[in-house]
Amino acid sequence: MAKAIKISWEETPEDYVARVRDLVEREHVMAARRLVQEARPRFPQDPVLARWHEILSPAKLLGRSPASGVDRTPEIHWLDAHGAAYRGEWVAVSGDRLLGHSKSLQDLMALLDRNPANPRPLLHYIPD
Amino acid sequence: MLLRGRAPFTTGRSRFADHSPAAKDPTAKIYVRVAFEQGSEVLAQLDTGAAWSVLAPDLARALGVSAPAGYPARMRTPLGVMNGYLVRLPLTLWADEGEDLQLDGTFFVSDNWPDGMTFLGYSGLLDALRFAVDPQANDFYFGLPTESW
Repeated sequence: MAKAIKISWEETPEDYVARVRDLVEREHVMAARRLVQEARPRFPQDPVLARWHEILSPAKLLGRSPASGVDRTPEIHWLDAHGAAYRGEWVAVSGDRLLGHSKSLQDLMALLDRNPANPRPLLHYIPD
Repeated sequence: MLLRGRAPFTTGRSRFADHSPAAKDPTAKIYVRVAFEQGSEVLAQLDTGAAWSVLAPDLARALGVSAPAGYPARMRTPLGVMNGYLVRLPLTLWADEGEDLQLDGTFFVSDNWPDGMTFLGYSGLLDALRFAVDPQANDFYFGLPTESW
């Protein structure tokens, strides 16, 4: 694991950001986090460092709710049996029913908005 | 759910798919169910070896996610070095038992990445989660401690 790079006090936020970007691109994420943590108290108003702080943060909990998952075994079986006919397309499947298919996910989602399904469908892309 | 001692270790359980349905290469992997907005449930490959999560570019477009919302980045991927951006997104992990989990995580988006392929990677997502897999039952257990960075 790479260590955070110590930067002299004469360095600027841009210097920090350049080093953070370099660490991120080399996948040294923990080192990049440490560097941002080091930089932010020195430059608390810097918007770029603030964005990197957000980007590099671990996932945060936004909420919890009672389980509302749908058993997708029927959808998986349908896709395995019939999906090959829709290569290169997104399909929307609910239970063992095909609700729609399109090369454009946006078009498919617009179709579903006009025709809401219950339970909600599983969207799946079938590669060529 | 799973307990460590008497305290919850994970808070939700869902069934995962052990292959990508209808794929020409149905090798065994773990695909969990996630949603990036209500009604857009998709399968995402769990990949602890990936430095970052990756959002399929067509899914990003459908969700209205674009480069200005993120931060430019160049990443090494199994498909080569790609230019794109890192962006913070809310998502839901659906549970069949216990609790759904709403969280936000960091995703890499690149127009050079293949359509339809979304990965849940380590940094900015899995590194905050507790999770466990029961491969005999295709069960994915998950939870999120409340400590923050």
